[in-house]
Amino acid sequence: MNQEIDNKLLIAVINNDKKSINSFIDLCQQIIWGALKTFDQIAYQDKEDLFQIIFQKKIFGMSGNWSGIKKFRGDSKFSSFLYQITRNEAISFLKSKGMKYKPQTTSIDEVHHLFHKNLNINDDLSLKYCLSQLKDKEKKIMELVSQGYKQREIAEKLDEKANTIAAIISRANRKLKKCMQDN
Amino acid sequence: MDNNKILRYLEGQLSSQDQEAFEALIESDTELQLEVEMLGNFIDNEPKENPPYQLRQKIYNMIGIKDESFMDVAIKKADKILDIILGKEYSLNIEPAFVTRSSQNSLLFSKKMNNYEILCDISSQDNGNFLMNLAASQNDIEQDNIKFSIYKNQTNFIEKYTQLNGNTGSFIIDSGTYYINISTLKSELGNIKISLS
Repeated sequence: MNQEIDNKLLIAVINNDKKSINSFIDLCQQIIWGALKTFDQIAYQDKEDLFQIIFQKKIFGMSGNWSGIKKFRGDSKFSSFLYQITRNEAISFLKSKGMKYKPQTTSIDEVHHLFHKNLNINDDLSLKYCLSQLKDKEKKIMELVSQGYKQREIAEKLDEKANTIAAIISRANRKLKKCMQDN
Repeated sequence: MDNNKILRYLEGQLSSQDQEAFEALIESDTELQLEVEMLGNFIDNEPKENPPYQLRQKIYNMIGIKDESFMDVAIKKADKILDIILGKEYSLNIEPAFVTRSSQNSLLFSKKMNNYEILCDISSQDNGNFLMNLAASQNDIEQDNIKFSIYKNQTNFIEKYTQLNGNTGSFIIDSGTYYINISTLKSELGNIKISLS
């Protein structure tokens, strides 16, 4: 499950190495299906159709020469590229049906909890260090979150749009989690 | 928006100057915010799941892959006698097999899947139902804790684990088409599609 799709594997696939193609296809299937499953608004049958369309159009290519893979520039992880393709196809599908995607945004309660759960001394130091690494604006907003302010209250206090605050909370939360994992 | 730039941002590959400029752009663009948040969640959490077996088969067919870890069996019941419609190549002629013997009202199928020998034993019952027993061995040694997830109509119908004697024990099922996913704690071994009518 933890095998990565690296450039070596991609080259082997383009060169039609059978064993590599098998591993590659299985890994792609897990990523694409895993991502599609998160779209609650898309019916199961439509997910199955989208799954096949993504493979045909974006990976194998209409003429079966892996033209989809050849479009990958190699400047990100291939799994990230696949998640992006899947996300774009799913969003286009929803738009074609006149549906708007209802995202599951980062819950402010989840972020608030990060500051108030019982952390051991190492995690507490790590949290403090990671907070110090945030930009001033992110730090200020996270401080307000830790004090229990809601998104709208923070937006009013800082004279910003609520959406902007939501984006910053989400980004800062992501940075904190990543930093705490690395430290 | 350059799609690669979003990925490079999320993977932390932008220079601090580019990152700052990109974050300012995110704050001013609701669509972009949504895209970055969604992709960020995908990249952080890496949701991965095997698709249902029949869907995987479609992809394998599209690419031209022959799936070696798949047993496709169709059995029809005429009176008490079971007739093999599909899957004769997997039928065992070993007597006695370690699970049970095959007879006119009982059939035993076997296939090697990822170095495991998987057996599926089907018997007919008087009330029209079927008795099924599943088993797994490796190098002739019975294997316990092999999971058989049995799906009917895309829902998880039942889960069975092999015991120390390598088999799940018999259980009753009615007619229909079943997909059985076989796995160890670490990996998937293969799948069985079985149609009983």
